[in-house]
Amino acid sequence: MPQVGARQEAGKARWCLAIVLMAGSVVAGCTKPSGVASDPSEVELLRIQITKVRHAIDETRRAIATSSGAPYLPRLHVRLAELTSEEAKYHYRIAVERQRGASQDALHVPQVKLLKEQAIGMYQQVLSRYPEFDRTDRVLFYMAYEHRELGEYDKMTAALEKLAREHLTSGFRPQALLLLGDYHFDRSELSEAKGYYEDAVSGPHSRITGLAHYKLAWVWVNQGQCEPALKQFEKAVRAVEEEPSRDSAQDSDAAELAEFQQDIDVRRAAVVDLVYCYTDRRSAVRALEYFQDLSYDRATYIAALERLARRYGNSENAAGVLRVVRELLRLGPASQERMENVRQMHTSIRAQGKYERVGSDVALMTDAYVRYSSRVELDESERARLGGEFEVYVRDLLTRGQDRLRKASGPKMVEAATDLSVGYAAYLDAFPSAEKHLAMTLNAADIFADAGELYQAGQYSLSAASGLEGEKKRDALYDAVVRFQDSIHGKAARGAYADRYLAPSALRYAAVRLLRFPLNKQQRLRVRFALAESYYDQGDYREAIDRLTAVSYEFPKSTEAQAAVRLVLDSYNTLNDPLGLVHAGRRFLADGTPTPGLRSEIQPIVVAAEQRMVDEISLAAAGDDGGDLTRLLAFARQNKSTPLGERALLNAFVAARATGDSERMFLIGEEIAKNYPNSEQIAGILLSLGQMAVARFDPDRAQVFLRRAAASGHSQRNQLLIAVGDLYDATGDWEKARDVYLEAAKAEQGGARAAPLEKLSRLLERRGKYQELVRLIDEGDSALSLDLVATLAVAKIASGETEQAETLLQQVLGSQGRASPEALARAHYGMGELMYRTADQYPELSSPEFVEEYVAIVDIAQQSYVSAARQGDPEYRATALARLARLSELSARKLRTVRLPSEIDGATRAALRKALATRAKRLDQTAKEALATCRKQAWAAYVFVPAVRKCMAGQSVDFTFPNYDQPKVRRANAGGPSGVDALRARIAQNPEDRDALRDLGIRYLKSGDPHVAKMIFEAAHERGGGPRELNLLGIAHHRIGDNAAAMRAFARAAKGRLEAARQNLAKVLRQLSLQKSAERALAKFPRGRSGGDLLDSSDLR
Amino acid sequence: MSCGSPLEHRSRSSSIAWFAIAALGAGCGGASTQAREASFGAAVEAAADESWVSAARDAYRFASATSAEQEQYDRALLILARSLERMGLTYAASLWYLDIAHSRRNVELVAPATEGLERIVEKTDYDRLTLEEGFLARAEVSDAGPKATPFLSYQQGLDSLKRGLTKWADKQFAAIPSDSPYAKRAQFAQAVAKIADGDLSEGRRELRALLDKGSLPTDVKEEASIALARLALERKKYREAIRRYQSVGHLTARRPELLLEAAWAYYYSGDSRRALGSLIALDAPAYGRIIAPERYLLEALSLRRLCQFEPARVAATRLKVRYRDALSDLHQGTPPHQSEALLEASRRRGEARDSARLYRMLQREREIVEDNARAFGDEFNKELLRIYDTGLAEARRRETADLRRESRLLAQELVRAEDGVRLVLHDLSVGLLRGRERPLGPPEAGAVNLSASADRVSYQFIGEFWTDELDDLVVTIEDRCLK
Repeated sequence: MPQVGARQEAGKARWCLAIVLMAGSVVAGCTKPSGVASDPSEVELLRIQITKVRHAIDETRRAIATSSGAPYLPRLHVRLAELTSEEAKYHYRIAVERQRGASQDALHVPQVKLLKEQAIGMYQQVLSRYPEFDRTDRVLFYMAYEHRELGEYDKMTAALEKLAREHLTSGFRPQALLLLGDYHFDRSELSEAKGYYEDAVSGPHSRITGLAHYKLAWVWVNQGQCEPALKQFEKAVRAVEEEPSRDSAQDSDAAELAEFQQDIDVRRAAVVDLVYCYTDRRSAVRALEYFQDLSYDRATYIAALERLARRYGNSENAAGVLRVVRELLRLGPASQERMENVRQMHTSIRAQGKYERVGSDVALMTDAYVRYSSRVELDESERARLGGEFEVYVRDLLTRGQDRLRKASGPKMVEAATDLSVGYAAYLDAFPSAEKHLAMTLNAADIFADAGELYQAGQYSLSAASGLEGEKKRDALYDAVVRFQDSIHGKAARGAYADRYLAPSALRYAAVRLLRFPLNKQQRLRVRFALAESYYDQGDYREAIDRLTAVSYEFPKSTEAQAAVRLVLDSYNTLNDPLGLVHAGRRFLADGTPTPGLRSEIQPIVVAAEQRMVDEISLAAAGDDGGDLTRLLAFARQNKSTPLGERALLNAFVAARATGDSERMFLIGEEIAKNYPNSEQIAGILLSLGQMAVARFDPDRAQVFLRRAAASGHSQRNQLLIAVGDLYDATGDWEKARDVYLEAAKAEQGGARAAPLEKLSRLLERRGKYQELVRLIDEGDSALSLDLVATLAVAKIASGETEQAETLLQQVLGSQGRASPEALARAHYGMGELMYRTADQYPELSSPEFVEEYVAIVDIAQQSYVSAARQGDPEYRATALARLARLSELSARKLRTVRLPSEIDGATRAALRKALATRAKRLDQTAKEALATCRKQAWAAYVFVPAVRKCMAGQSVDFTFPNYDQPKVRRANAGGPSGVDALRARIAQNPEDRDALRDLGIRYLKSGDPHVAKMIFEAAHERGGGPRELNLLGIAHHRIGDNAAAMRAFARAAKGRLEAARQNLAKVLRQLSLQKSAERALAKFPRGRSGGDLLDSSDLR
Repeated sequence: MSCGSPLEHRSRSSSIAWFAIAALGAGCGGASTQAREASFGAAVEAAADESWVSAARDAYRFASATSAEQEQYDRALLILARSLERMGLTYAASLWYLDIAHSRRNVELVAPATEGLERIVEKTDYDRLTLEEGFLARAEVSDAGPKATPFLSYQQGLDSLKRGLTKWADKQFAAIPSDSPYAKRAQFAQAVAKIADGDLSEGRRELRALLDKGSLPTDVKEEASIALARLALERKKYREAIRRYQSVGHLTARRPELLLEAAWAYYYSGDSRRALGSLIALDAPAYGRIIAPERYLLEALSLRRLCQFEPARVAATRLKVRYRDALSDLHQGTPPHQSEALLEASRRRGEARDSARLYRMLQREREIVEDNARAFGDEFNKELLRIYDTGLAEARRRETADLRRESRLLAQELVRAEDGVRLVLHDLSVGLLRGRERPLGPPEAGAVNLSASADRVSYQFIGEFWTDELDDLVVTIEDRCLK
């Protein structure tokens, strides 16, 4: 879910925030510290210490007195000296406490001097009395220290040098060298000082190594050598960081020396003090990184930065100042120094004249001021003065930055403006009472706009407007409107989605107030448009439509008017209100488009909307329940004779088709045809209706619609007419079929005529109308296929035009494999028939030559018939075989009746007779075999054409050409059965519903329309029907008068073991006087199951 | 007790402390007038008597007539600050403590002044900008004394941490004695910083280690638990998150965001009824002015998971009802910083909450000043009023600036939530079409067993909210999804 995603995205930010929250809450929960502690007086404490040390001195003196000659005596003397020195120290500190505020140099404390001299005396006594004492180095060091305290520097140096010279491994030596170095350093004897310091750092690493480096650095500084000085300062810092926790030399010495070491934080002092040389020698660019890296802690870093700021300030290095001051303002505490840093920042930015980061700088400046301004030490006048002063600085920088911004462009300008916007926001927050606050608010609005933060810019304009009057207020409000508008649509707009979401409301808020002012026409236009558009932007489309429409009419021909029109149309579109869109679009078109160029844009939108509207209604009409076309049809009638009305009707037609409502389809189709005769869809509609009628087994309607479809200019006119012809043919009306095929053939040119002519030729052939065929088909027609040529040739033979026929037959037979089996069957048959005629008309065989020639003719004829029979055309195969039988019978008879000439001798006569008899016998055998083969057609291929039936009767055929059963013509106005709508609906829903098909076919048979029943049963069989449907198909064929087809159907059904079909087949054969064949049928097909209908049954099931 | 102020009372132990402070300056007086000396003495005397009004008045009288260079000047200021602090005038007290500590005119007084600042920072609302960012978190205070130094180290370490100066932060934190309560806080801050830097596993490990240590200050323990709960929520370890949130359940009365977070954890874990219970708690009158639009979306989502479509729809639309005024302002284009509804809610969030609280605190303290006007005397009263008026103006300025930012953020949040409502409603519509099918997610927890036992009681919710029960509410709504 989106909320979840938002949570996850906010994860890191939440944890950042957690630090802040945690800080507050933890601090708030800190346990209460104990109350205020009190300290005793410092002087009192020192007095107590003096008392204590005096006791110790007394004790030590007593010990010395009683320890004469003891090996530890020198140690007791040394301790006594140290205690004496300690007492001196306490006296000195009391003096300091009592004269606090006075210069310590002015202190004169005789008691201290006396005690220290006593201590020195004690040390000298040890050195002189006990030269073998093992801690002479320690004594020398302490003695030197006391000399130093008393200002006896010569004695001090003598002691220290002796120590350094004679005690090379002493833990006191480095400290001694340091003191010697300091002594010379203070006297500006730098070379000497350097020598001692270098000696100090060259020894083993100790606690004073860092300090020695530090001192050495200062020597270099004083010698004007900054580079080595920097190195020594750096070494000082590193040395302290690497300082061993305990001196490697003498641990006890180190512990003692700690007291004498100078109270200086070397790490801090080195970092701060190297500033001088750093600024002298190194670039300011890396200053922050350098000092941050070197600084041990934040305080050191800040101290170094403060010094850096002063140094860069003194050297007028504006870039350096800026770098350092920015960091100081970011990290440093609020103080007078920070206020000075703010001044420095202002001066440096001005001096540099670079304002790219001035916004961020201003934010730092104001933040520093705010953190300091509440301090109690600032009285009212000082606070006001400081505030006034800084307000001017900040304002000065911001306005200069803004001026410079005008010279920039592109991404750099946006970047600079973004930075500046930070500064403006900080200024406006920090100085709300400033005199120039209002002017700066206006500036801020400009800057935020330049930064692409247009929503914010608008809000600042709005804020400014609330403090302005008159024209200035108007201008500010106008700016607010423009910026809010740009924040929604402007390419340069940046900012959060929420801003864009809020901007339209803010725009209205500003616009409503702005419209109270008089505006010029251009301003009024922009505001009115922006106001209207804001409703669009927030999805209040109805309000947007009203306001945008008003703008388009009030300010025609303006760019905004164009946009308004587009937005109005888009609003309707978004509202899914095509009706509204159409009305609005028409209005814009009718009343005069607000801008002429828009007309061509609106027109297609309106048209598309109109179509969409119809589609929407259509979609609603095509609901789950089969649809309610009422609304769609009503809409079509409302928009009669318009493209909209036409589309509505077309959609209604499609919807009716989709739901299988064929009756409504016919009605709507008729309405389309009537009202929109020129519709581009009309041919398709009529074709659909025709197809629907075919599917409904309604040949009358099918013929009408298919004819009309063809007449309406359908691209497949020829096929449609052929389909019509086929329908006539199927209903037995061959004459009408002929006419339609002819019409189709005449309407076409070239090869396209082949199909209708072929249909025509087949029709006439089946009907035995050979003369008509010869009359109607021109043999020179280039469209004739070899099939047609073959058929025409046969027809010409039948018509007596044998010569032309022979030419045509040769054309087919010489086609070298291009002719189809059907064409070849006809061609061979035709050739056979021509030979048959020759043989039949052959004169008496009165000479051997005649006999020989006759036999040759007969052979050719036989071969032709055999070739014809082999081509596979069932009708021609059967006829060819029957004719072969006939020819063979006739030829045999003729050969047997040959009258041999008398002059032939007996032996020859006998031989000839025998040969003729043999030949005749062979012909008889051929005839018999041909008839047998012909009969087999019935049982092998269920071919029961008249020729086969002759064969079955044992007769050769006496007709010349294939003979066909002639179906009856369908009864005019058959009408069909009533009450079959439910069945039709079932079939419309599921054309494979065989039960429905069968029931419907039976209803047609019962109503006396076997032609349609035949169509239905054929469909049922094609769609997977079984013996029952085949048996019914046979009944239908039988009633039409097509016995061959009927018996073929019965035979197939009988093979499927339907007893009724078996009986029906036998019955038809009996009716055709083929008693034996009937018996044979009953014998061939085993008894089947019951359930079928008998031919004479009055109650078909 | 010359003034008889109700704020004045005696305490033997604190009297000794105040004598001690006075004694620090005894015998060291310079050439000052007798009257001034008398004022100082009177201040010391009054402080010892815990007569805070008199002590403050006399200390101010002395300080205002004395050069800051004089030693007793800062001692007087310390009495003044301490007295004001005791009177509840923490703002004025903090400014004087700050002056003493910052100026370092008397290094001996830096420690007590810093301790005074610590007390104020930890106990009350305070001027964070001036005290923390202006001084405590940034200034170098080398004489804060052993008591206040851990506090300062913590403040400064935290500031360094926030600014990415981890090296120094670590050093500053390391300087805190391990037995100081700030040491644990520092460890907590470092763990949170690691998390903020993206090192979640290390941050989590440190937080757990912190909790395992025991003897943890209560607030650190709570914050660590909350942080771990949030981490677990982010890592989709909802059971752990719930356990952590339950461990800080007692905080929900003042930190309602924990209820919302726990509700998300329940929701994601598949316990929609518990999620709804947590959300019901957010309806408590105490949270009436808080704007948390997410709450309604989550309620709708939880109900959706139970296939309670209509209640879910109602819940989603309640957002608009609940925040009608704020949304109405936004839809009318009222600038967010001018919408009263948004401003009221913004005052309870983010930085605006701090500035609003500071403003209210200053108002309260100014009233105390007015109540004691006569006792303070004209001059001192006038100075105090000046301080408070200046503070109020500054607090108002900050509040205005913060509110401008916060109200904008809140407006954006509301707008996004409104968008979310639209999406949820759409989702509900689609869900309805799909039947009572549960959205993808973890298996839904079964209904809660409400039968009483030896250690459990249950009550039917009758619209009364009890702070100790806020995190125990559970909704017993039917699960209508088809299994």
